[in-house]
Amino acid sequence: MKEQTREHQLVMAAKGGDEDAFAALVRLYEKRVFALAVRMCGSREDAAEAAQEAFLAAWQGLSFFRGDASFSTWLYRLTSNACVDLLRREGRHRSAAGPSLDDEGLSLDVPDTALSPQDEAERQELREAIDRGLAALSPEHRQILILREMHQLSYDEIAEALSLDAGTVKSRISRARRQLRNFLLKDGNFSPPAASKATGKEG
Amino acid sequence: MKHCEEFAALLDPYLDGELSPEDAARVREHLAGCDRCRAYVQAALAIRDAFPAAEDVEVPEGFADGVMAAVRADSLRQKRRRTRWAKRLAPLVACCAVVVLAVSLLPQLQRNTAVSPAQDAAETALLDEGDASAAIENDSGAQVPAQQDLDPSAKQALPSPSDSEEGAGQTSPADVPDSSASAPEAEAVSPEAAEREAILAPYSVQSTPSLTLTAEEAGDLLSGFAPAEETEDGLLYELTAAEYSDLLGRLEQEGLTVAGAATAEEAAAAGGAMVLVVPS
Repeated sequence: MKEQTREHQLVMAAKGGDEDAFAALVRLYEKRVFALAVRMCGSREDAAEAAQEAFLAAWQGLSFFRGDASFSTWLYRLTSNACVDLLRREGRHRSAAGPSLDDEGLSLDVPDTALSPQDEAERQELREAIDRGLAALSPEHRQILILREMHQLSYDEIAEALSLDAGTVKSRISRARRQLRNFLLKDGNFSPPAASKATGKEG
Repeated sequence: MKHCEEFAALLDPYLDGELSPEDAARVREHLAGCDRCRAYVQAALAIRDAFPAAEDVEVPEGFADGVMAAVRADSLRQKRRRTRWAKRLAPLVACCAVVVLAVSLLPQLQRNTAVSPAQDAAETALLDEGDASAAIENDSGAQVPAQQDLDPSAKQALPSPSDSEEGAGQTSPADVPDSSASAPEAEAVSPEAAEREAILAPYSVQSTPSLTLTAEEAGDLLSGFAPAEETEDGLLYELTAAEYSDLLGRLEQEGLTVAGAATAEEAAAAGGAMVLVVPS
């Protein structure tokens, strides 16, 4: 709560043209914005460029920011737009380079005991695999999972940030998650235990 | 287990805390007896547990300073541009006003060929508009009739594909009526001239697809865009034809019809449109 109040004060001050307040907002959000940008753009250089554009757009648009959405949601939206613009502008569709996960093949037999990372090393390994999996997703699936899992936005906030309706948010998250999980299964990170129960193909 | 299909659609909202307590309880109950759905939920939770965290990202050194340098540079640029854009936009706005006025008076002009009070009013209004924009133009010491400025400004704001860099010898069809319409207050406004302008002037609007919204009307519709310019009148956005068309759709959804808005077709023909958001 305290953080929100402080953020609100900074936003109001920045709206009034206070550059120092805006600088504080930049520092408050740079990691989150950059984290989103680096996965959307695929390289740190592009991410830095897009993240800077997003902050600049925020500065320029602040006087029109009415606070209906939270500042962070609005900022993610700008970041997202900046990344898409940059990729389009430069014709850099790195995302297309990854393997296609368009069809999730939901009939895959799934281990009934999914992994529960036992130590930090295993967790780290899975994290790296998730990064590879994210890179293989389409930009919109990658983006929505990052907003959900990394930035912990609610469905409503995601709908606001990406200008989507609620139904699309729900189905896109589900699709993205299934694709990522299937990538991890193929990648061997979710290796089905040898003595998996004969779950069959129910469902 | 035979309910899996029904529950499949609930698993993600369940994972994301988007279900009502009742539905969440139903899902939990189902998970207890369904290996397959439980495996999905467990995998999703494992992914969440190991998901890359924003905090782990290393932001390039000096990133925030770079942003602030760009912000300050932008503030300076905006201040300089503000004056320039005011000069460019004022004649445009004045011209649009003339067009609206002329078009609205056209039926009366057609009915009364002889000089009538309505016509007098039209002439006076036209002259007033001209004076107003000329006055703004005079800020910079330029004595050119205000409306002659319209065409270049329109081109610069939204270059049409056919425009060459120099554009000197090239006049698009829309420019022709424009130039003849730009003189009415230079030559004393004769009834015929006023009428001609009224008929021809709409072309000048078509050559510059544009839309003016109040901040209230615009709401958050443009919040995803960075304004191209900040003018004294408000924020000026340059949208692609597709973005503009999308904007029109959303305005319509909100039940807003904006008088004088360029159509999506006009924007498509010009390759984009300008949107000026003025304070409510």
